[in-house]
Amino acid sequence: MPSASVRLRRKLDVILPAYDTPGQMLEEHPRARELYSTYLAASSYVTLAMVPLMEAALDRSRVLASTDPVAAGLAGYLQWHIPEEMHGDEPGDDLLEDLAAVGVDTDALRLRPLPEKIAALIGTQFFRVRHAHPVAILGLLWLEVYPPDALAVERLIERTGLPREGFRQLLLHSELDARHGVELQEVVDSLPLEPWHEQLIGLSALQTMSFLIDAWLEVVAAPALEPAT
Amino acid sequence: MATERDNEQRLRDAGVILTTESLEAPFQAVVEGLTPHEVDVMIAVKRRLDEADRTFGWDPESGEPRPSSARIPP
Repeated sequence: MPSASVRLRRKLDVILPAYDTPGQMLEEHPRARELYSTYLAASSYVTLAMVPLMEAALDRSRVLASTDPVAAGLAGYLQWHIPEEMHGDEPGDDLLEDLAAVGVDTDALRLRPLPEKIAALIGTQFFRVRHAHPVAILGLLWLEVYPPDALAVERLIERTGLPREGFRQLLLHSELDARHGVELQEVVDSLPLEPWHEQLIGLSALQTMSFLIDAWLEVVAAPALEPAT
Repeated sequence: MATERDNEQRLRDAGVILTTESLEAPFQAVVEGLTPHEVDVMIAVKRRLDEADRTFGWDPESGEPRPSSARIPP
Protein backbone atom coordinates (compact mmCIF):
# COMPACT_ATOMS: atom_id res chain seq x y z
CA MET A 1 0.00 0.00 0.00
CA PRO A 2 1.57 3.32 -1.01
CA SER A 3 2.14 5.91 1.70
CA ALA A 4 -0.14 8.92 2.16
CA SER A 5 2.40 11.23 0.52
CA VAL A 6 2.69 8.93 -2.51
CA ARG A 7 -1.10 8.80 -2.83
CA LEU A 8 -1.27 12.59 -2.64
CA ARG A 9 1.53 13.01 -5.12
CA ARG A 10 -0.11 10.67 -7.63
CA LYS A 11 -3.37 12.57 -7.31
CA LEU A 12 -1.73 15.93 -7.88
CA ASP A 13 0.39 14.61 -10.72
CA VAL A 14 -2.87 14.56 -12.72
CA ILE A 15 -2.88 18.35 -12.90
CA LEU A 16 0.87 18.94 -12.65
CA PRO A 17 1.24 19.53 -16.41
CA ALA A 18 -1.50 22.17 -16.12
CA TYR A 19 0.31 23.76 -13.16
CA ASP A 20 3.47 24.09 -15.26
CA THR A 21 1.71 25.51 -18.32
CA PRO A 22 1.20 29.19 -17.34
CA GLY A 23 4.91 29.53 -16.54
CA GLN A 24 5.81 28.00 -19.90
CA MET A 25 3.38 30.37 -21.60
CA LEU A 26 5.03 33.32 -19.84
CA GLU A 27 8.48 32.16 -20.87
CA GLU A 28 7.43 31.91 -24.51
CA HIS A 29 5.27 35.02 -24.53
CA PRO A 30 6.48 37.88 -26.75
CA ARG A 31 5.42 40.31 -23.99
CA ALA A 32 7.15 38.33 -21.23
CA ARG A 33 9.09 41.39 -20.05
CA GLU A 34 5.90 43.41 -19.65
CA LEU A 35 3.90 40.61 -18.04
CA TYR A 36 6.48 39.24 -15.59
CA SER A 37 5.85 41.76 -12.81
CA THR A 38 2.07 41.17 -12.92
CA TYR A 39 2.63 37.41 -12.95
CA LEU A 40 4.94 37.61 -9.94
CA ALA A 41 2.57 39.99 -8.15
CA ALA A 42 -0.26 37.45 -8.46
CA SER A 43 1.90 34.86 -6.68
CA SER A 44 3.09 37.39 -4.12
CA TYR A 45 -0.31 37.64 -2.45
CA VAL A 46 -0.10 33.93 -1.62
CA THR A 47 3.43 34.37 -0.31
CA LEU A 48 2.38 37.29 1.87
CA ALA A 49 -0.57 35.33 3.26
CA MET A 50 1.31 32.06 3.76
CA VAL A 51 2.82 32.75 7.20
CA PRO A 52 -0.39 34.26 8.62
CA LEU A 53 -2.28 31.20 7.35
CA MET A 54 0.27 28.87 8.91
CA GLU A 55 0.03 30.83 12.17
CA ALA A 56 -3.76 30.42 12.10
CA ALA A 57 -3.27 26.67 11.54
CA LEU A 58 -0.75 26.53 14.39
CA ASP A 59 -3.12 28.35 16.76
CA ARG A 60 -5.97 26.00 15.87
CA SER A 61 -3.71 22.94 16.13
CA ARG A 62 -2.66 23.93 19.63
CA VAL A 63 -6.31 24.22 20.66
CA LEU A 64 -7.04 20.71 19.35
CA ALA A 65 -3.74 19.05 20.23
CA SER A 66 -4.67 17.53 23.59
CA THR A 67 -7.27 15.25 22.00
CA ASP A 68 -6.18 15.20 18.35
CA PRO A 69 -2.88 13.50 17.45
CA VAL A 70 -2.92 14.88 13.89
CA ALA A 71 -3.23 18.43 15.23
CA ALA A 72 -0.49 17.74 17.77
CA GLY A 73 1.91 16.50 15.09
CA LEU A 74 0.99 19.38 12.80
CA ALA A 75 1.67 21.92 15.55
CA GLY A 76 5.18 20.53 15.99
CA TYR A 77 5.89 20.83 12.26
CA LEU A 78 4.44 24.34 11.87
CA GLN A 79 6.33 25.61 14.89
CA TRP A 80 9.68 25.05 13.20
CA HIS A 81 8.56 25.60 9.61
CA ILE A 82 6.98 29.04 10.06
CA PRO A 83 10.32 30.80 10.76
CA GLU A 84 11.73 29.17 7.60
CA GLU A 85 8.98 30.79 5.54
CA MET A 86 9.38 34.36 6.86
CA HIS A 87 11.77 35.57 4.14
CA GLY A 88 12.13 39.03 5.65
CA ASP A 89 11.48 40.97 8.84
CA GLU A 90 7.80 40.80 7.97
CA PRO A 91 6.48 37.73 6.11
CA GLY A 92 7.20 38.06 2.40
CA ASP A 93 9.31 41.24 2.64
CA ASP A 94 12.03 39.75 0.44
CA LEU A 95 9.55 39.05 -2.35
CA LEU A 96 8.29 42.64 -2.15
CA GLU A 97 11.90 43.75 -2.72
CA ASP A 98 12.03 41.56 -5.84
CA LEU A 99 8.80 43.11 -7.07
CA ALA A 100 10.14 46.61 -6.45
CA ALA A 101 13.24 45.68 -8.49
CA VAL A 102 11.03 45.08 -11.53
CA GLY A 103 9.09 48.28 -11.08
CA VAL A 104 6.11 47.26 -8.97
CA ASP A 105 4.75 49.86 -6.55
CA THR A 106 4.48 47.53 -3.54
CA ASP A 107 2.49 50.02 -1.47
CA ALA A 108 -0.13 50.12 -4.22
CA LEU A 109 -0.01 46.32 -4.48
CA ARG A 110 -1.12 46.05 -0.84
CA LEU A 111 -4.06 48.40 -1.40
CA ARG A 112 -5.46 47.33 -4.75
CA PRO A 113 -8.04 44.53 -5.13
CA LEU A 114 -6.55 41.05 -5.07
CA PRO A 115 -7.04 38.87 -8.14
CA GLU A 116 -10.35 37.11 -7.43
CA LYS A 117 -8.88 33.61 -7.61
CA ILE A 118 -6.11 34.51 -5.19
CA ALA A 119 -8.61 36.02 -2.76
CA ALA A 120 -10.65 32.82 -3.07
CA LEU A 121 -7.56 30.71 -2.41
CA ILE A 122 -6.61 32.61 0.75
CA GLY A 123 -10.17 32.76 2.05
CA THR A 124 -10.79 29.07 1.37
CA GLN A 125 -7.62 28.11 3.21
CA PHE A 126 -8.50 30.23 6.23
CA PHE A 127 -12.02 28.77 6.39
CA ARG A 128 -10.75 25.20 6.17
CA VAL A 129 -8.07 25.75 8.79
CA ARG A 130 -10.57 27.28 11.19
CA HIS A 131 -13.68 25.23 10.49
CA ALA A 132 -12.62 21.92 8.92
CA HIS A 133 -9.19 20.96 10.29
CA PRO A 134 -5.88 22.84 10.39
CA VAL A 135 -4.21 19.96 8.54
CA ALA A 136 -5.76 21.51 5.39
CA ILE A 137 -2.80 23.91 5.43
CA LEU A 138 -0.62 21.07 4.16
CA GLY A 139 -2.51 21.32 0.87
CA LEU A 140 -1.31 24.90 0.47
CA LEU A 141 2.20 23.97 1.52
CA TRP A 142 2.18 21.12 -1.01
CA LEU A 143 3.27 23.78 -3.53
CA GLU A 144 6.73 23.26 -2.05
CA VAL A 145 6.77 19.79 -3.58
CA TYR A 146 6.85 21.52 -6.98
CA PRO A 147 9.59 24.19 -6.72
CA PRO A 148 10.40 26.63 -9.53
CA ASP A 149 12.82 25.20 -12.06
CA ALA A 150 16.11 27.13 -11.80
CA LEU A 151 16.94 26.70 -15.49
CA ALA A 152 13.51 28.00 -16.49
CA VAL A 153 14.01 31.03 -14.22
CA GLU A 154 17.40 31.68 -15.83
CA ARG A 155 15.78 31.51 -19.27
CA LEU A 156 13.12 33.95 -18.12
CA ILE A 157 15.76 36.39 -16.86
CA GLU A 158 17.48 36.24 -20.24
CA ARG A 159 14.26 36.50 -22.22
CA THR A 160 12.84 39.45 -20.29
CA GLY A 161 16.11 41.32 -19.84
CA LEU A 162 14.83 42.39 -16.42
CA PRO A 163 17.25 42.84 -13.49
CA ARG A 164 18.26 39.63 -11.75
CA GLU A 165 17.18 41.22 -8.46
CA GLY A 166 13.59 40.66 -9.55
CA PHE A 167 14.08 36.89 -9.58
CA ARG A 168 15.94 36.28 -6.30
CA GLN A 169 13.06 34.60 -4.48
CA LEU A 170 12.25 32.35 -7.44
CA LEU A 171 15.89 31.25 -7.59
CA LEU A 172 16.09 30.81 -3.82
CA HIS A 173 12.93 28.70 -3.74
CA SER A 174 14.16 26.55 -6.60
CA GLU A 175 16.73 25.29 -4.07
CA LEU A 176 14.91 25.68 -0.74
CA ASP A 177 11.62 24.12 -1.76
CA ALA A 178 13.34 21.01 -3.05
CA ARG A 179 14.29 20.34 0.59
CA HIS A 180 11.06 21.67 2.08
CA GLY A 181 9.04 19.49 -0.27
CA VAL A 182 10.83 16.34 0.89
CA GLU A 183 10.34 17.36 4.53
CA LEU A 184 6.66 18.02 3.92
CA GLN A 185 6.14 14.56 2.45
CA GLU A 186 7.88 13.08 5.49
CA VAL A 187 5.54 15.05 7.76
CA VAL A 188 2.47 13.84 5.86
CA ASP A 189 3.67 10.26 6.28
CA SER A 190 4.40 10.76 9.97
CA LEU A 191 0.91 12.00 10.88
CA PRO A 192 -1.79 9.48 11.84
CA LEU A 193 -4.04 10.65 9.02
CA GLU A 194 -7.49 9.18 8.56
CA PRO A 195 -9.00 9.03 5.06
CA TRP A 196 -10.95 12.27 5.59
CA HIS A 197 -7.76 14.12 6.57
CA GLU A 198 -6.13 12.90 3.37
CA GLN A 199 -9.12 13.99 1.30
CA LEU A 200 -9.02 17.40 2.93
CA ILE A 201 -5.32 17.85 2.18
CA GLY A 202 -5.82 16.56 -1.37
CA LEU A 203 -8.71 18.89 -2.16
CA SER A 204 -6.87 21.78 -0.52
CA ALA A 205 -3.80 21.13 -2.69
CA LEU A 206 -5.84 20.66 -5.87
CA GLN A 207 -7.76 23.88 -5.30
CA THR A 208 -4.59 25.78 -4.42
CA MET A 209 -3.00 24.72 -7.71
CA SER A 210 -6.23 25.37 -9.60
CA PHE A 211 -6.65 28.90 -8.20
CA LEU A 212 -3.02 29.72 -8.98
CA ILE A 213 -3.31 28.34 -12.53
CA ASP A 214 -6.38 30.54 -13.07
CA ALA A 215 -4.69 33.63 -11.65
CA TRP A 216 -1.57 33.12 -13.78
CA LEU A 217 -3.59 32.42 -16.93
CA GLU A 218 -5.44 35.67 -16.38
CA VAL A 219 -2.05 37.35 -16.75
CA VAL A 220 -0.55 35.41 -19.66
CA ALA A 221 -3.72 34.66 -21.64
CA ALA A 222 -6.18 37.48 -20.97
CA PRO A 223 -4.15 40.35 -22.49
CA ALA A 224 -4.30 38.64 -25.88
CA LEU A 225 -8.08 38.53 -25.60
CA GLU A 226 -8.35 42.13 -24.47
CA PRO A 227 -5.62 44.13 -26.20
CA ALA A 228 -4.83 47.46 -24.61
CA THR A 229 -6.51 50.38 -26.32
CA MET B 1 -24.30 9.22 -6.09
CA ALA B 2 -21.21 9.21 -8.28
CA THR B 3 -19.37 5.93 -8.67
CA GLU B 4 -15.68 5.23 -9.13
CA ARG B 5 -16.32 4.38 -12.80
CA ASP B 6 -18.05 7.75 -13.20
CA ASN B 7 -14.80 9.44 -12.18
CA GLU B 8 -12.86 7.86 -15.01
CA GLN B 9 -15.60 8.53 -17.55
CA ARG B 10 -15.98 12.16 -16.48
CA LEU B 11 -12.22 12.70 -16.74
CA ARG B 12 -12.13 10.99 -20.15
CA ASP B 13 -15.09 13.03 -21.42
CA ALA B 14 -13.39 16.24 -20.30
CA GLY B 15 -10.09 15.29 -21.93
CA VAL B 16 -8.17 15.11 -18.67
CA ILE B 17 -7.44 11.45 -19.41
CA LEU B 18 -6.27 11.25 -23.01
CA THR B 19 -5.26 7.64 -23.46
CA THR B 20 -7.88 5.37 -24.97
CA GLU B 21 -6.30 2.37 -23.27
CA SER B 22 -6.92 1.10 -19.76
CA LEU B 23 -5.22 3.06 -17.04
CA GLU B 24 -2.19 1.63 -15.29
CA ALA B 25 -2.99 0.22 -11.88
CA PRO B 26 -1.55 3.04 -9.69
CA PHE B 27 -3.28 5.71 -11.74
CA GLN B 28 -6.49 3.70 -11.81
CA ALA B 29 -6.42 3.60 -8.02
CA VAL B 30 -5.94 7.37 -7.86
CA VAL B 31 -8.88 7.99 -10.20
CA GLU B 32 -11.14 5.61 -8.32
CA GLY B 33 -10.26 7.34 -5.04
CA LEU B 34 -11.10 10.85 -6.19
CA THR B 35 -14.03 12.62 -4.61
CA PRO B 36 -16.57 14.32 -6.90
CA HIS B 37 -15.20 17.70 -5.74
CA GLU B 38 -11.69 16.70 -6.77
CA VAL B 39 -12.93 15.59 -10.19
CA ASP B 40 -14.75 18.92 -10.54
CA VAL B 41 -11.51 20.83 -9.84
CA MET B 42 -9.53 18.78 -12.37
CA ILE B 43 -12.15 19.31 -15.07
CA ALA B 44 -12.33 23.05 -14.34
CA VAL B 45 -8.55 23.33 -14.70
CA LYS B 46 -8.64 21.48 -18.03
CA ARG B 47 -11.39 23.76 -19.36
CA ARG B 48 -9.48 26.89 -18.33
CA LEU B 49 -6.34 25.63 -20.04
CA ASP B 50 -8.27 24.80 -23.21
CA GLU B 51 -9.66 28.32 -23.16
CA ALA B 52 -6.15 29.75 -22.83
CA ASP B 53 -4.89 27.57 -25.67
CA ARG B 54 -7.68 28.78 -27.94
CA THR B 55 -6.62 32.33 -27.10
CA PHE B 56 -3.32 31.51 -28.72
CA GLY B 57 -4.86 29.92 -31.78
CA TRP B 58 -4.57 26.22 -31.00
CA ASP B 59 -7.67 24.06 -30.87
CA PRO B 60 -7.38 21.50 -28.06
CA GLU B 61 -10.04 19.41 -29.84
CA SER B 62 -7.89 19.14 -32.97
CA GLY B 63 -6.08 16.05 -31.76
CA GLU B 64 -2.76 17.73 -32.56
CA PRO B 65 -0.19 17.89 -29.79
CA ARG B 66 0.12 21.31 -28.20
CA PRO B 67 3.02 22.98 -30.03
CA SER B 68 4.88 25.50 -27.94
CA SER B 69 4.72 28.00 -30.79
CA ALA B 70 0.92 27.81 -30.65
CA ARG B 71 1.11 29.60 -27.34
CA ILE B 72 2.62 32.67 -28.95
CA PRO B 73 0.24 35.11 -30.61
CA PRO B 74 1.35 35.96 -34.18
